[in-house]
Amino acid sequence: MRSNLILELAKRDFTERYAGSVLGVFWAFIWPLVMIAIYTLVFSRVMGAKLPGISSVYSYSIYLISGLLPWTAFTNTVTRASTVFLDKRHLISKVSMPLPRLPLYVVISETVTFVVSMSFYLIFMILTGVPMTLKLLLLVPFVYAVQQIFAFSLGFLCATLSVFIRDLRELVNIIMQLWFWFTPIIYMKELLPLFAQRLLLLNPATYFIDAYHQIFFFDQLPDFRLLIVLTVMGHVLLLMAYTFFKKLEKEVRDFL
Amino acid sequence: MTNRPSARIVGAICASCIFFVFFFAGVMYLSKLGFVGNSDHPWRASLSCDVSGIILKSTEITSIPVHIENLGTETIESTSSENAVFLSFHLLTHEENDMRYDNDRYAIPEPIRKNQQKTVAAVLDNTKMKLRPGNYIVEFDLVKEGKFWFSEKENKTLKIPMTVYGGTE
Repeated sequence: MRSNLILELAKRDFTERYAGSVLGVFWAFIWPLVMIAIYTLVFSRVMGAKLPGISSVYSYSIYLISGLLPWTAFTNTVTRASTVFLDKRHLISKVSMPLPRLPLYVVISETVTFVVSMSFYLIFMILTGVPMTLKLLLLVPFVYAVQQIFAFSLGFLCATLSVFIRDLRELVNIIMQLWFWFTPIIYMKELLPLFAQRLLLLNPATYFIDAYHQIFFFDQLPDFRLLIVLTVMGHVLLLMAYTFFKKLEKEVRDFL
Repeated sequence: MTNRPSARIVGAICASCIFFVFFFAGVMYLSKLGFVGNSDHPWRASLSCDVSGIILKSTEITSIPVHIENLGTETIESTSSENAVFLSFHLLTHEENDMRYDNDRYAIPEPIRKNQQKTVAAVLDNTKMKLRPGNYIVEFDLVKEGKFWFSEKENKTLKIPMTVYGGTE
């Protein structure tokens, strides 16, 4: 499959999502704005939520959104990539293409949404006067890349399995919901008892969510040791997913 | 179509892994040298402690070593300076509700310069605090007297659970 086809699929995925609507792709810009507005209004203004030890009115909104945006990209990539072979079977049966690259269009499509959302988030941070360090922001694309390699690998592995186990589609959605609550996105891991904090280290999503919190909220360097572990985990998983797929490739095509 | 993984793709995955590992390790190394990081902020400090919990008799005095690392650009001055910074703590209930905001100040014996770390012994004296037996949280914070608490500058505090047992006040 040529990279043009992947880009075309990503473009279509993005435009088809808003096809028929009056505002079209502008909805992609409206959604993050609305989300930021809601979280700011509800948590900062109405509930007055503050994080322990931090006095800013907007602190909870900033903390929450800095974890929620990457998590949304991550979870959407995993869930959508896990059904990519089934969703695109009409295309697979007509065009000869190397299937392992197919989930890439999901990653690209989600990246566009992430970039747009993050841009609004950064504007929000500037407007609220939150201190930011440019050098730290330069790390975000690298953290995001490692996060998406992990998401792609997981989605790819599930995509192969879901060809044979159709229930996996629903199962992945449930697992991602549970995973969300086991990841410190809406709460701070420091608030948990020590044993729970240790348990969180078994959750790879904690590694990248913590990195975003450190960069955007604490304005500090992330823990690179965790990011290195995540990098290795993501690539090992990718190798496993790819090897697994190659072993079953013929059966996957037959089933589709 | 072959069942064997393509060497080109396996190679690309390994190369990508090596790239990211070296990138993160490199930035980590540079940050240790002070080339990258959040050093643009004047008041940035990290508090840590080797103790995960405090157990205190109602008539006891205990000392907790708190490590202070200066991650900002300004020097954290010791007591000898007009701009002295002190280690202090807020006392919280075990449900993390504020109980006593202002407590003892602990002097920093010598200035802590950028990227330096010093340890200050925080003495918790229950003969003075007169806490009833129960569970509390000691939230360590730095204070620039009369100016601001470091937590107000978006620094993390250090929370340690504390159990007081024995006779009451």
